[in-house]
Amino acid sequence: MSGAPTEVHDLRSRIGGSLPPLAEESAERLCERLRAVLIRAAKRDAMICTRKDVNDEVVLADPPQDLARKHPDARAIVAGSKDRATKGALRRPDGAWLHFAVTVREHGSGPLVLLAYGFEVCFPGGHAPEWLRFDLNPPGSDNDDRGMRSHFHPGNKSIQVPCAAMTPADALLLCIYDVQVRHR
Amino acid sequence: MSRLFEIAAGLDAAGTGWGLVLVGSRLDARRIRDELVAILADLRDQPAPAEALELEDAAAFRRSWAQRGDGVLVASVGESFRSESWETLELAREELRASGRRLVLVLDEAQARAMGAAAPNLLSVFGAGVERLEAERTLTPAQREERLAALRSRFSLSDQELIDRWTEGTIAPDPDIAEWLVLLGRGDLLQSPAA
Repeated sequence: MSGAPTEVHDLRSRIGGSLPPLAEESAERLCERLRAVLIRAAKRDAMICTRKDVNDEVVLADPPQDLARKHPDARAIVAGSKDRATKGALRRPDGAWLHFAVTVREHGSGPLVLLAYGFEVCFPGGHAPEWLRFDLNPPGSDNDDRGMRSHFHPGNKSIQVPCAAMTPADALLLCIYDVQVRHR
Repeated sequence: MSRLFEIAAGLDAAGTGWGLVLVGSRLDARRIRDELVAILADLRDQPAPAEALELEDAAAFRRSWAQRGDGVLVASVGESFRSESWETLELAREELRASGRRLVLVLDEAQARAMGAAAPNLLSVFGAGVERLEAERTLTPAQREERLAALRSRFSLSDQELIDRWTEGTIAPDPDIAEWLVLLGRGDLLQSPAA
């Protein structure tokens, strides 16, 4: 990857696009926005989770108070288990399930800054690929040099394909409605 | 579990009736009011079904009630709202309810006590539709540790090794690393994107 010509780096950057601005100003508000996306999807029968499932699964992941005191501005919203094999409660009618984590920075006033996300769709047994994941890596020289900060993994953590950077709500919508098994 | 989200979803599902949200001492009633309106908007397909309002003058509010739209009115009370205003609302409660328009009051504990003292019959209107909201809870310690254990296992690193390698720049950026640093209270090590 590091040996790719400049035009490939440019292509990756064009595909990735600019980081989308967030409308939310607090991690709590973004958390509630993501919950609402899931609830609305459940109303449309695109998800089979209940309101309680959504409330229980989509939570803020703040550090303990004694750790947060010094560095309060970076926060995370998480949903589902980090164990890919564990079927969480955020399930689709086709048997797939979702889990995700979003990291943001708050500024007191003004919109959140999106730092990173990972949204994953896991498919039931026997499906290939077993999972698909949309990642936005945190800022860092490795990403920036390769133009691959935003990418997806087609069921293999060693394979990264550049894709557009999205808002967390849009990435969740994609996972709910568009990462589907298409039957012939 | 998000109580505010649960409250909003409950209001959305109920479809009718008035509500009273009592916010704990660490919460700001106005902010909760605005977040409640935003969640209600997200839960519906049609735009902005709820309206935020700060009550300053109950008599003016009573006069304007009939001109307002059909969505849920989510109201906090302003600094100048006095006991006489609660009495005005109490006297007008049946008239307001007869319109079918929904009202949700967001009050802190002091405001709720003032309402109860000045307008006990108004308080009874809310009946079972009273919800208490404390500060948002996050992962339990056990849940946090479970996630940290999974991260340590995935990367085969201890928490300190992760911090050391991240600060040295010897580990590739990954969204899980961002979450890991936040869980450790080291979100300060995450750069903001370049402008």
